[in-house]
Amino acid sequence: MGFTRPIALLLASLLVLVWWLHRTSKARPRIPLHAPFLLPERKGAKASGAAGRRDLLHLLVRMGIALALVLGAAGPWVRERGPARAVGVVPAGIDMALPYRGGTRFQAALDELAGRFEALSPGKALVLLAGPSPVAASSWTSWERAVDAARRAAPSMGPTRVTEAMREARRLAGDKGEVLLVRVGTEPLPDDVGLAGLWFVADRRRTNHGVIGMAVRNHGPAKAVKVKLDTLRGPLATVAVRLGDGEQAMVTVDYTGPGHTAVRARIVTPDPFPLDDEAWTAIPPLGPRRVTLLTRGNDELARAIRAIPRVELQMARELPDDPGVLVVVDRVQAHPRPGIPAVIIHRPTKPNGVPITMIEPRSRAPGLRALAGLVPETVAALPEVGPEDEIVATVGGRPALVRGPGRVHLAFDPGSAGLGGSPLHAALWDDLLDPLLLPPLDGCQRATPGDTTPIGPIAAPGFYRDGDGCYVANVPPDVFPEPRPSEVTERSPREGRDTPLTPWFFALALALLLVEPPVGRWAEGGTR
Amino acid sequence: MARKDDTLLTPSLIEILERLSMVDRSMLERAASPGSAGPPKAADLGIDFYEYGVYQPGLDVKHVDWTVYGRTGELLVKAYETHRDLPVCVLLDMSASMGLGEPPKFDLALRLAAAMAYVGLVNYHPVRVIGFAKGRLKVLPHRIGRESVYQVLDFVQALTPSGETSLVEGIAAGLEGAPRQGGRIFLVSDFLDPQGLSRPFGLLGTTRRRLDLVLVASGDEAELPTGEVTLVDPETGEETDRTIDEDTVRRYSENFEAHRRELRRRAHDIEARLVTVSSDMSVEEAVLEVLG
Repeated sequence: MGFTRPIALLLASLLVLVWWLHRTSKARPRIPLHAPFLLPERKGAKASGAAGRRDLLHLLVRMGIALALVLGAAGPWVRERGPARAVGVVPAGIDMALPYRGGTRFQAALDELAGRFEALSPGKALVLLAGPSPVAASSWTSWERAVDAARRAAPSMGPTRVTEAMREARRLAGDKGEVLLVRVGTEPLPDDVGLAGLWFVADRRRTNHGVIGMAVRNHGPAKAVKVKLDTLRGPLATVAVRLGDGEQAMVTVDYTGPGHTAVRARIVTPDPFPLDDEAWTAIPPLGPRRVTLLTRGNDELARAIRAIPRVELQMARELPDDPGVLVVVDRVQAHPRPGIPAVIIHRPTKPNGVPITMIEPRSRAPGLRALAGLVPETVAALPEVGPEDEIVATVGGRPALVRGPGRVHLAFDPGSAGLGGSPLHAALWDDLLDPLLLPPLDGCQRATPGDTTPIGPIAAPGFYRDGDGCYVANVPPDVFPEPRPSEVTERSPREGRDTPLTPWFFALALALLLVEPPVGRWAEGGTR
Repeated sequence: MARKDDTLLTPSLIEILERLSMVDRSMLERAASPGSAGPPKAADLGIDFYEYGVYQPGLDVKHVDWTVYGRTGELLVKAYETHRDLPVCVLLDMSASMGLGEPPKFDLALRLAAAMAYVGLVNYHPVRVIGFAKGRLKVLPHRIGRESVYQVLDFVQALTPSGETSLVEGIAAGLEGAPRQGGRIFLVSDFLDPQGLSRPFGLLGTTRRRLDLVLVASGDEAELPTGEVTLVDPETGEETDRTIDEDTVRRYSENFEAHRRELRRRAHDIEARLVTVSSDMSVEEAVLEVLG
């Protein structure tokens, strides 16, 4: 039971006044009697105790009137009992860290959830934080403790995934539990403009040329947007884009330069949601790259390597003094110097009777998927796989492609194992050589805010570098969670209903008012 | 009810008290009255010759002093006075009803008790003072002589009226440990005992001591106001709302008068002397009424 106007309860002090008035109205001259035992009995009199009880009843009626009026004025209400269990789902993606009404969206959502919980009054509650994956803030406990536990958490750096969280919430709530979804400002802001993506494509024919592409999305009405591009070396360009209502546009900017840097795109038009206004990507070195192929003759392989953009191939039978940036060893005895990346094709020492088997690539890299089409007849025995090596593909359970730091070992020649003459052959070698051809900066891996990398957590879109490692983090692919609340809330929470009691108290006061006169006469009559 | 000694006994009162004694004059009166069996035997009371009385027809002729008759021709009978200890017991009702009245009955009762004790002490009689109410006894053991006056006065002035009346408890305490006969008992009370007068007077009738019943009355005792009032029993604190009409006033007055008649009758039955004093009397008047 609660009161909408508890301050009115202070009027309860008037009960003392009622008592005093009652006593005053009943006041009679007090006559001490020398010989009460000589007082004649009154006719039909009842015991004085009964008179006292009647007077007490009269007083209670009068005080009941006052009390009912006071309580009625205070606005009493009672709440129906809530469900046994309730799960509160609170979006906890990176967007929930945005400012909102003096705090953050996350805090506002928890405040809202606390109010919903209080109204629902569940027996036990749990708060599920809907980040990239749902996380329970606590075990089943009181709703106050559940909310407190959630307040100690922080929004995830990743996107909000409500659908998955709702699925988990329904599982936790069970058949008789309730699920509450609180959404505070998670919908796209009406005037928001954001970068949905940023990438760089090198020109395959021209050195020092490429294209920076970006997707600019407008969540609001049509407007002009300015995007500023900077590299690590300085400003690159500023692009003005006219976007229609809710339109997304692809914008490209030509890049001319040596590369070997990172580029940042930033929307400079004022925007209420700055999280998606910035994106980063890497630009590899765009000059020619000299590669040495040590072979006694493998034209197929030479063609595939020459097809890699900006690669200048030199062929030799022995390792030259200046092998360039990469050495490919094709079934010859050679030992490239440490520090020079190398791809080594091992020759099977003798036909070993390995059955014809499909290669099982473990990587999902597009070029490496071409390995699945290979049917090598024999594979060589590769050197022992070290702890830092990665087995990329196997044949009959034996390593067929092992990639390690600065080294790639092949137990067969893809060109003679089915890819010869195929465009996929060049793609395969592009994928194999690309990581080795890129200097450290160009090895920057793409990341999403919220990812944990060897160089630390990625907190926001940007360029991260620590020693030899670097990451370029773009905006989360889905800053704004989808679908909308109406689409995911299949079961609306049943809130505890507050039943106002004011009319009942006033009715009680009225009834007592009607009863008071006869009770008063009855009490008075009892004393005569 | 704090009271100083000099307010209990004023100089004028002391002057009166010094002239009084505890001699049981009634004995002499009885001895001198027609039909009397004569003065009490000296063996019983240890009396000495006190004075001559005029012979009245009906008196025992053996008490006639024939020597005097032979010398003067007058028939005189010998009167005697006690020379032994005459124990005096003052029983003072200190129930709450004694605190009523205007002035309070207890004021006069206290002074009377102090005065009677004073007279006993200065005449070298053992004096015992007992204040009583229901379940409450204040006993001052026997004291003798003038040097005990202040002890007695201190004791008396410390008494306060409260509690219910119980004449039986007071009388029983007064009779306890005292000789069955001889001495004098003063019972100062308003005799308004809800338990009635039968048992108290039954108990008083068992003693052969001189009984002086001092009824301290108040002028408003028998009166009742008319109208709606809250009647308060001062002894129990019980309150009763009543509407008092003329009939109730009349009946209450009748009950009160009947109670007084019963008191007089019972006192007469046990040959006790009943003296009525009003609370608005001066203490000197009251003392003379009781001891005069």
